[in-house]
Amino acid sequence: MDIINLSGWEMREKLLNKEISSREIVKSHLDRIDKVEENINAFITIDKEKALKDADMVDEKIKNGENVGILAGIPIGIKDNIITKDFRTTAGSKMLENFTPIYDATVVKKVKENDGIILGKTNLDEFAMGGTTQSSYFGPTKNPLDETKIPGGSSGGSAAAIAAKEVALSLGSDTGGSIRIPASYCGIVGIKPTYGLVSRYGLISLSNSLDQIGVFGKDVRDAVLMLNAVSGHDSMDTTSINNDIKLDIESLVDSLKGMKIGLPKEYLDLEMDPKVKEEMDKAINILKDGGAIIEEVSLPNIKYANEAYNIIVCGDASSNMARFDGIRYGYRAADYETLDELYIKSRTEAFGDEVKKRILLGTYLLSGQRGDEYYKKAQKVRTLIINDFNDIFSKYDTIICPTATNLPFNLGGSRPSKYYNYNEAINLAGLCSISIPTSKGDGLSVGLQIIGDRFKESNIIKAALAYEGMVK
Amino acid sequence: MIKKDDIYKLAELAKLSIHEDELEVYEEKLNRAIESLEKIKEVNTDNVEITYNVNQMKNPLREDIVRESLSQNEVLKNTVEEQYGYFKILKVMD
Repeated sequence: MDIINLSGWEMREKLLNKEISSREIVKSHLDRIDKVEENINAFITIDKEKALKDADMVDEKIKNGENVGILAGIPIGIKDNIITKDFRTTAGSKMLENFTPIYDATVVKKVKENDGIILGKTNLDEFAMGGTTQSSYFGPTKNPLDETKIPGGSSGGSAAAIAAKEVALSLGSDTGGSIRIPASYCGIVGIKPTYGLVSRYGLISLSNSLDQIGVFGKDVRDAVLMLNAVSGHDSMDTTSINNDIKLDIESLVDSLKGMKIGLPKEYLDLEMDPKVKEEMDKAINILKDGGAIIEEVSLPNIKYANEAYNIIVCGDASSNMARFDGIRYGYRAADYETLDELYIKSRTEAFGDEVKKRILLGTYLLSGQRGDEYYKKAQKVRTLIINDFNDIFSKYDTIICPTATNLPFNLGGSRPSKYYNYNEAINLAGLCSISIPTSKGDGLSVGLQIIGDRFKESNIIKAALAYEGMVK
Repeated sequence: MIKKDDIYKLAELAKLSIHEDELEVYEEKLNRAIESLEKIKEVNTDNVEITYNVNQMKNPLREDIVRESLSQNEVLKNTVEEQYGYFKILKVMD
């Protein structure tokens, strides 16, 4: 038995049955890291000794007959914009190259309380600004399915680490597709939960009303396990909802009979890579065969989602990035004569091009009358997009579409402009969404996206489990 | 349209410095980005409410009781220069 081929929940089962130890699980993944990591570059920081020590503690608990958490013994990667106490956290930026947080993000605390084993911090686009993981100060991550391709982003390291079998589970963050796109490109499952379901305390903010921490796993069951471990109300995050939804996976294994699924015509009108189109058509037929009722629906305002999103993200990013002043933490330039020079030199030397571009654009969009002209306008268009979704969810349980309309492109490149998607709309409306691979084994992966209403994770998980069962 | 002078002004507001060599690239990138946003102006948003947050939020208030917080030592751990338990920067007053 090769441990790294097991899913996270299988590892946990075998651990509890005393077939394998936590040390064996962690050791096999660390060996795998030794073999592939130099090439894949999924991680920014790894702490092997700490991981083995944590594994021994779990083994000790099991030996003593103590209760262990739901992540017991499972090797986990944490996106490096989620802070970890006494463990370097860089957000993929030179700005935080030497930053060691003094407290844990709530989700990290929960992973530890549930006996998960954190192996390291995963690579991302600098401050999560991007969709390719190429803007990281620590170099790009390669797609384990095809090393000439990008893994997607911004949570590219978290997805690649699972696809390369370096960890079994991971955490990412999703502001406009940053979990779903890499899940799709790397052939794994990714969930962007409803805004407010998972605490964002300790997440380095990009855009406050859009950012959401979410999860990756090898299969739906794995992703749900991780989501259950980190979700729940947190008094340290005022946007977290006082509603402890936990998903009971066994009750969600069910037929799709009677599930009403909307298929937005705005997506069908998009240009798609022929393989994506083919996989999407197959997926629709599979879901229909499973008993789902699929009907065409319309989201008329979704065509403005990209514009509304870019305005809000850049506006928010420009003010969020203001905290990096070189004084309390982060990079400080060596030479400066005035306080202003300290700020300017530190920020100019430590931020990358994409970050600077977004700060300048956001500053432009928020200055003077433009705040009304752009930012407020975008937030009104957001209301219209939400209303469109509300209309559909009053009649349908879920919405499906491709996660990405294209396949991952070559490292060093950018997304061909003819391929467009509306993933940002899901964050604008605060909905939950899952990306699940349509097929495996023939090269690059295509992701099916299943979207649900706010706090209706149970609907998307039910559909995803049924679909996964039918394509296995 | 953003002109080169505007970029210097924006950079000043954002506490960044743009080198002369980079100016043209930023001018091109920013203008392309702004142009791509113009489409949003065609949407009729008369009488549409603003959404700042998707969930209905209330400020969670609590009694103003002193609670344990981070220690001065911990807070200073990540700064480049400190003195007497404070962040050290330049003298701003003589």
